[in-house]
Amino acid sequence: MTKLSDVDRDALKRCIEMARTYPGRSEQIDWKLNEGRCSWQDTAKFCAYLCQSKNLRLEIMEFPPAWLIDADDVEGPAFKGKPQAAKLLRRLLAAGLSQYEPDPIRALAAAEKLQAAE
Amino acid sequence: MPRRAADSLVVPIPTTRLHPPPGLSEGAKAEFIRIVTCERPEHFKPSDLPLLTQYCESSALAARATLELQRDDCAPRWLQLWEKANRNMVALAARLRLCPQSRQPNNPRAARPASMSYYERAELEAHDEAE
Repeated sequence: MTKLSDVDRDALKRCIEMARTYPGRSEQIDWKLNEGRCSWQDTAKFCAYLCQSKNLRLEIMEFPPAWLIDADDVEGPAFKGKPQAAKLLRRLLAAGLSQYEPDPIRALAAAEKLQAAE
Repeated sequence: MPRRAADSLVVPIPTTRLHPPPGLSEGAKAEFIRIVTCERPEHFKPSDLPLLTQYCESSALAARATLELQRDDCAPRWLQLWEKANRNMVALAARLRLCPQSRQPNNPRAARPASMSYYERAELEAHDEAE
């Protein structure tokens, strides 16, 4: 299991919170954490997938940034959109945000606003 | 073999929607993308591009004129521009079937347009810059 940074852990916590608001997901998350014996990290990453796919309105076959190994993980068929996901991931990391931000575009906009105010 | 940079492998997500033509003003481009992404992909044909472009420019101009009109020292020409831009928008909105009135009678049970993937939207936004 990979060691998470504080930024990633914070984002993943918010992913779980947000995913719990989706219909039927709260029960699924509880099941994963208890009977399903999934680790907190795996469950949180699953929630990151749910949140990012929903907020980016991704098609079922498209990769959210949370699924990439790193920003160079771009190989694969075009329909998966991995290069686009990697591009977004680079923007997130450059803004000091996590790969697991539940709503990447909103987080980037907030970070840019904050940067402009400074 | 060294890994290739992410940007070098970016391929456009295929989209059937109209792309903003080069040379649109910033406000018009934002309006163009907003309209194209709000409507069904088959709503516009490439032959609609000139009308849609003019609609978007009129909309951007009307928005700019509105801002100018709020100033105390506003030049009178902004009122004229605002009126003309609005008149143009009203005429073109009906032709492009963008207003509720032109949508209503034909198919009141029409399905809502499908939402658009962020990657497809980003491709549309980047299109103008790449040219």
